[in-house]
Amino acid sequence: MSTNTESWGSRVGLVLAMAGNAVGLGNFLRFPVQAIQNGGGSFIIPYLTCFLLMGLPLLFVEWSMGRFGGKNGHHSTPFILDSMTKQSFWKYIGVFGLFTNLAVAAYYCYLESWTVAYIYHSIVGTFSSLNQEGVANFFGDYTTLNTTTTGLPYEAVIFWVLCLILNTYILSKGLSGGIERVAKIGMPLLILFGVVLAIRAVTLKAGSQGAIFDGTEGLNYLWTPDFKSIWTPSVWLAAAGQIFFTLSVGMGSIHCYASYLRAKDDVALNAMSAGWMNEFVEVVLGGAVVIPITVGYFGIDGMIELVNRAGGLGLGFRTLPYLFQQWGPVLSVLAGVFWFGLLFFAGITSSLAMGTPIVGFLQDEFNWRRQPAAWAFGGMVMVLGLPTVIFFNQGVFDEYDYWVGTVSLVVFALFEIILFAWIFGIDKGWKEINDGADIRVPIVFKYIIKYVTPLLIGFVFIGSLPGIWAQITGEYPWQVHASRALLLAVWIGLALVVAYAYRKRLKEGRFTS
Amino acid sequence: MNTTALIMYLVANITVIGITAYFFMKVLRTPAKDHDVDDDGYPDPHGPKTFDAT
Repeated sequence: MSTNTESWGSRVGLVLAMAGNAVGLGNFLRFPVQAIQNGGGSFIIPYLTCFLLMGLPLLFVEWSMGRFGGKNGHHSTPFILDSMTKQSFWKYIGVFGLFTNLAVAAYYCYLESWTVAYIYHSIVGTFSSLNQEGVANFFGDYTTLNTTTTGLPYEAVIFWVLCLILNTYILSKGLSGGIERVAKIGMPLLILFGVVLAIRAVTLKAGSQGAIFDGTEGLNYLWTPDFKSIWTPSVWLAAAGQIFFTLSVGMGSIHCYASYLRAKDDVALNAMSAGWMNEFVEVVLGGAVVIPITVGYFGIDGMIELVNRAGGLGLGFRTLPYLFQQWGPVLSVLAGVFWFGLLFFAGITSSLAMGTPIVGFLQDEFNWRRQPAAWAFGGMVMVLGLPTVIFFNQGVFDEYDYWVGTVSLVVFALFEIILFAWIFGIDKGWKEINDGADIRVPIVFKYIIKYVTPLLIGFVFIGSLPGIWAQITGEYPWQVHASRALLLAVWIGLALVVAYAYRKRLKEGRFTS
Repeated sequence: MNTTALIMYLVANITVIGITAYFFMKVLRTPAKDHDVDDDGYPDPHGPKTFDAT
């Protein structure tokens, strides 16, 4: 019998934890850049269309799959998928739901630790004595392990380990005592910090505090529609990709959170609320901070050059800390704490969601208690994440992000929508979505889930094939090739553990469906 | 801001804020279910406890 009988303490806690899972650094750093590169204001039309046709349906599907598996005591995707069909290979497709969470957590926790370090440096005033180039170079120095920016040797490793310990400790405290509590504190603070920074950004005036342009110039550029772009396939591909990655679908973490619901708990309203909360953070807050502030100091051309050179991540870590310094000694510290605090909460609420499926799997299949399972997850993340820390400048971090944080999600989502709509059956699936629902889901979604969503995900997958080919055939240092082999070995290793767990279940006479 | 940008900005933001607030309020206001009465025949591994109101 599994030791895993936890449940959520409150519905609001669950919705905030689910929204926190979806809200990540990409809401603030990726969305505005995608919008700028794909038609400005008109990007919102394909973006919201893809949210309705692919994002929301996938949320309904993953929430109901999770609750369905939870009824049978399954809290991770291998046996959730296995319980939905008699074909035994689906549990190996479910391995993606363990693999993705483990491998994304491996590099994501490092990213999260940068935000902690940058909060520290904002408070102690490290950036106040640096010029623009100095702040930009600081990032390079920080991620080069043998260069110190605080006097402490290997400080990036120290912040990373601290972050890992914090994540593991919270995970070990359980659903309601750890994850839910962090979501209830983190999400309101994230929104508060975002609102304050957004107001500051759009009220930035030319000639004041070193700004050359109004902050609204940035909003103007971001929201001026180029309606011709709506008919460009690449814009739809970018919109579908953004929806995909912003909602954390195709990972297995939503299934896991939903598996702790009770049999008659609602999934429809919860999914809708958590999904739209992510859209609020992305569209309303994410679009109103980075671009207006950067345009205020560098103008449109300068901002585009910075985006092309270093992307959204570069704007967030290399440029904004310098721009905050123009706001005076007090406001610059506050802005730094708010900005990196906001990114930290966005990060930790996501990384905690990545740990839950692994912990749930160890509890379900090997009767581990929560605490050792959580610390085992922390240990695995540390081992798997070490190459991204040591070989960051050789491109290992980006390699993980590409294969695990991009390709793996699309592959798993394509399989799961086929399983749900065509093998489990849309009639049974529709009943699952509506069982205990606190809202009436429009019947049109039944047909969207069956026909439109699989086609859209297929479109995203096919559209990404040229990129996958370019990635495979590109020239990279040995560290990148080694990291690919490591990721493949991890997937195979997890598949073997799932096979062992299945045999163990059969031996013990435990049902799998 | 030019007029079309302002319209796009306001329409998108008001729509997203409105829908988000509507569903979140609905979550807050929907009463908890009684899980003691469970007629689907599934053993519930998470016990009969219901959600608190908040």
